[in-house]
Amino acid sequence: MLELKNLQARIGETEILRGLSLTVKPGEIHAIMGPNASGKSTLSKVISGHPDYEVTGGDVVWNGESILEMAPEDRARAGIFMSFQYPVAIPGVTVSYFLKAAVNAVRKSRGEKEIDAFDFLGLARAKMKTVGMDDGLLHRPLNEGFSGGEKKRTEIFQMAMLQPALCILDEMDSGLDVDALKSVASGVNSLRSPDRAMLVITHYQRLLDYLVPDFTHVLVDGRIVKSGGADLAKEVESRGYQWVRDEMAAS
Amino acid sequence: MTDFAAISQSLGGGDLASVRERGRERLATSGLPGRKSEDWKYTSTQPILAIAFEGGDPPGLPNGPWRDGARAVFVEGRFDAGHSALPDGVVLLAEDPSGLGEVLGEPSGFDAVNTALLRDGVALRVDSDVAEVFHLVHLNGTGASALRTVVHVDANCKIRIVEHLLGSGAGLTSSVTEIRLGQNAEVQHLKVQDVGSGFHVGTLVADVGRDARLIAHSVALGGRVARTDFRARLSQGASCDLYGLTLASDKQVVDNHVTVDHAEPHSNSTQSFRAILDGKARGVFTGKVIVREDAQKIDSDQQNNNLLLSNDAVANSRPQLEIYADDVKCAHGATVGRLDPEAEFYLRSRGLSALDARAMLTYAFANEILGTLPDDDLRSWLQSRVRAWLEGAE
Repeated sequence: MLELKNLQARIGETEILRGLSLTVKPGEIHAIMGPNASGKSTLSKVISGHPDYEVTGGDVVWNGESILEMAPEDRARAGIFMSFQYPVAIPGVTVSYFLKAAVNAVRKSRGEKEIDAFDFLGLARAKMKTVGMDDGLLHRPLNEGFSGGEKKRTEIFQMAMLQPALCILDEMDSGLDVDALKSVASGVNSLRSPDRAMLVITHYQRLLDYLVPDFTHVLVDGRIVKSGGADLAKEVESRGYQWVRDEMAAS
Repeated sequence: MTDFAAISQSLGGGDLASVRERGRERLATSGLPGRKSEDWKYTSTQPILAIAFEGGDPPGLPNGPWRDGARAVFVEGRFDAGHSALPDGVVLLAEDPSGLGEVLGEPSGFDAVNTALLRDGVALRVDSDVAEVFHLVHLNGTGASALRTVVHVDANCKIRIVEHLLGSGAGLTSSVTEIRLGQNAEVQHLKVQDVGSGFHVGTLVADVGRDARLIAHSVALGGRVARTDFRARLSQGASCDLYGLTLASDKQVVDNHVTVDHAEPHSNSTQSFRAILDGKARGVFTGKVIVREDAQKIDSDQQNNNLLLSNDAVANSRPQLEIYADDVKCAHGATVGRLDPEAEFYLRSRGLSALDARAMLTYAFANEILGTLPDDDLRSWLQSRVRAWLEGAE
């Protein structure tokens, strides 16, 4: 489904990813853990096609094809979704206005009929229920004045509406207290399916208590230096990233 | 070269002839603002004054929110009874010029032009809460024509007024609107300027009485050169919220010139003016806030935000605060910028094309002003007008 092949990328003159390889199959949840500045957020932005990041080597292959030349909107239409660490506020547009446009852009690209306002509202209300949200949020300006929890829940709600094949969750736990974290994670869990893969990018292990990964990878200096199962996340949490670095140095 | 006195003379005798004569006299004394006028620093009157303004070719009455309900339609400054449905309390100035006093405040040269060209207008006395919106529609062609609107709102009464200025051809549409609000009265005023390739010079002047509220929106969709002066005097406890939205492209110049005079204590004002500028358009905003010596406990906030869609568009922003009291809160801010690339990426990452993402962000910028319109129907009508403009601008 997703193959990262010796991926190298930079922003400006700074090399950030230095040969990252990873294969993700449908239904799998992969956690990417790493200290600050290890390249976690760069990874999510490179996969989703942020124009500020330049891929200098390797490849991102999605369903058998390289997507490096694809515009971000085409990646989204092909089923790749990134939940932003810091979702952008757009004060003049309501959640529903924005999301109806997004849903229809994706539907149109798949040759499906555009959804009308009535059906959209019905669908949106149903999806909000499954991710545990109040539908009053639909009519508020997008992310404007939202609490940290509301912002992240809105990202998950967008995910539920757009039904992507790959969900990249970029530091979804940042700025959330435990209750908000639990509720966001349960929203994500409700979207797990055998056809859908998830890439959970996080600095801390606590999110992974509620969103249990099949694989855990530790990212240091732009490379995956250690991979394992769900237990690896706990080990990293208790022993710290320095332990991974020391192990690297020893080998 | 424009000769407003000659145009005024050509309108002949009859209704309001003596009023026009007064306008010509005042125009002869005051003259028109020239290159050195500080109040017209960024907007040249030369393109306006280069035109003879021979009349003719007004547009027909299109469909719009004025179609049903209370409305007064004017064609080249003259009342069109066939298309109008006057509500109670409205007097036509041509029938009864007594409603026409001196223009409030310090009239400008262009206010004198309005008087010199005046053939009709309305005087409106509001003595209850009027639920229905009153629409004034002015259709102008290639001539120079004027409309005057004089509104008196009695204490505790309320009304919503919309002025639509529609033009085809390079004419001049002049408007002067005077609003006097009694104690605790409320006026919601909206001006929609859509004079196409024509010119517009307008004044909205308000005397906001004790505890009264003025909420005025001004939306500029057209105009080769369009200038609006807002002058408001606030009594104790009064409030005045002014909102402006400019959409301009090509070589359009849209100039909003605001003077809010906090004459008495406990009065509040906001000014929020936004411009979306494409092509070689210029957006000008001057916001003068005066707080008089004994006018304590004033709260005033002024924001002017400009969105440039092209490299050749220009925004000029001038806040002017004159504060003579010490216990006041006066904030102001101005921005000139482009669309936020992070916001564009966010929308694209949800499947919107780059073009659609930029259109949505531009619409969002405009919609922050439209969102403050109290009337749902007018708001959604303007939202669709703005979307149509944005589609045309692409």
